[in-house]
Amino acid sequence: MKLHTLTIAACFILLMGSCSDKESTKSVIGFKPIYGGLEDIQKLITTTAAQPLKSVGKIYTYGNLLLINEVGKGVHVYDNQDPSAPVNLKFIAIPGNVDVALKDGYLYADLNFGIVTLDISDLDHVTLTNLNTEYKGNDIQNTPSRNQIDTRPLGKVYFECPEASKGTVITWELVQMPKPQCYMNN
Amino acid sequence: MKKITQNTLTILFCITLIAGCSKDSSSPSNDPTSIDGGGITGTGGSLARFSIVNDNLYILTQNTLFTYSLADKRHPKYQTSVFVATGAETLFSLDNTLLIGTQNGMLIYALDNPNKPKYISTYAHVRSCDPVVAKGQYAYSTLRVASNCDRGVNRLDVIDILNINSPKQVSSLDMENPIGLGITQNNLYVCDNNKIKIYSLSNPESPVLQGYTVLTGCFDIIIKNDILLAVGKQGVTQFTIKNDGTLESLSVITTD
Repeated sequence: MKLHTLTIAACFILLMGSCSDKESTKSVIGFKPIYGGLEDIQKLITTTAAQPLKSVGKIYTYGNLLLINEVGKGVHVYDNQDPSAPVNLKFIAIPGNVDVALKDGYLYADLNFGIVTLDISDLDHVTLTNLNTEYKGNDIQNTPSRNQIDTRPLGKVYFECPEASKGTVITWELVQMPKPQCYMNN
Repeated sequence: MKKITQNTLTILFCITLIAGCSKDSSSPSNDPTSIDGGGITGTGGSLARFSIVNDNLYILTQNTLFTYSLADKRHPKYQTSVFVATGAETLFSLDNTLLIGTQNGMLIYALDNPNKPKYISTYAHVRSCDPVVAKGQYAYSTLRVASNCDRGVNRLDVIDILNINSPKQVSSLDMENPIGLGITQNNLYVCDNNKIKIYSLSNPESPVLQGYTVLTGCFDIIIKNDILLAVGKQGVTQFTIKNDGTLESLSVITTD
């Protein structure tokens, strides 16, 4: 009787073990944390030619400029000198951006974990002058941001569990990966 | 692992709650904007969580107000952060005060020490999503029902803030599902259920509905001189504000 129970228990353990082994080797599409510092963020913040507007976030006017946030991605800069015919000038990619403010040619914009300062007085040569990390918005240190999760199908959204020892998470990239332990339900 | 997942879920849930609300709520700032002259600051939309007042940048998160000094514009310097309230949504600056829209009311902070905003008072209301704008001694706050703001109401409150120590409601108008709003010398413009409603402020204590312009999905407004910019489902629509306060469409920046 006792032996029987033990056998059943052993079988169960074996079964479960094999099951979870199988699970963990399965490959999935998930978010991978990208670690880095100021110089890495600098690489992600780029100014390019005008991009089409896809999803409108917050808007901001400054002199003749109109800035339209592309939710979580950056800002479109329009020349709005003639409000009846605004001209799409540039796109400034700022990962995780939602809010901006401008003063004297300096753009202050949030990332998921801080505030960047960009000198935009010359739109052909936008330069990053500072990064403040005291501010934390929708924190991405533990999970991908909401707007990234929203891009995935409903159900489990897997992501590689971030490790604080590896540094600051500056963004999350969608990649094929062995099924990670962390996930969120979408 | 389980713990991480649980924590992240909790965090995510909270973020979703806030995001859901702030997405549709608003408060414009009406800082004068001009490209020529010193100390040029832009104008945020009615969803703003950033506000520049003189040499300071104020940033509102879901619960905390961060203050940065812009004395050196290239390198903002962190000053202070104060816990404000859970469900903080919008930031509006008026003279020497910050008006913060939260799900439970409007909070007033004084900027006597611009590097350290000081809590003064709260105009409390039922739990609703609520952006705010203000001019002179009156603040206008829309309250609306949203999925994350249970027990909410749909209305526009007019709050006398002459005495910032004790803000008091002077009137209230029923609305359909109001969100962003903007203010001029004579009129108040409110995004309400796919319309921009135009109210006369001849008597600033009691706005009177003049008419409306249809704008599907209207949720955010900026007013800059005689131009009104509105964010809607289509994209960004710009209007001329005519002398009688009515709106004439100028252009639409459409989303792809």
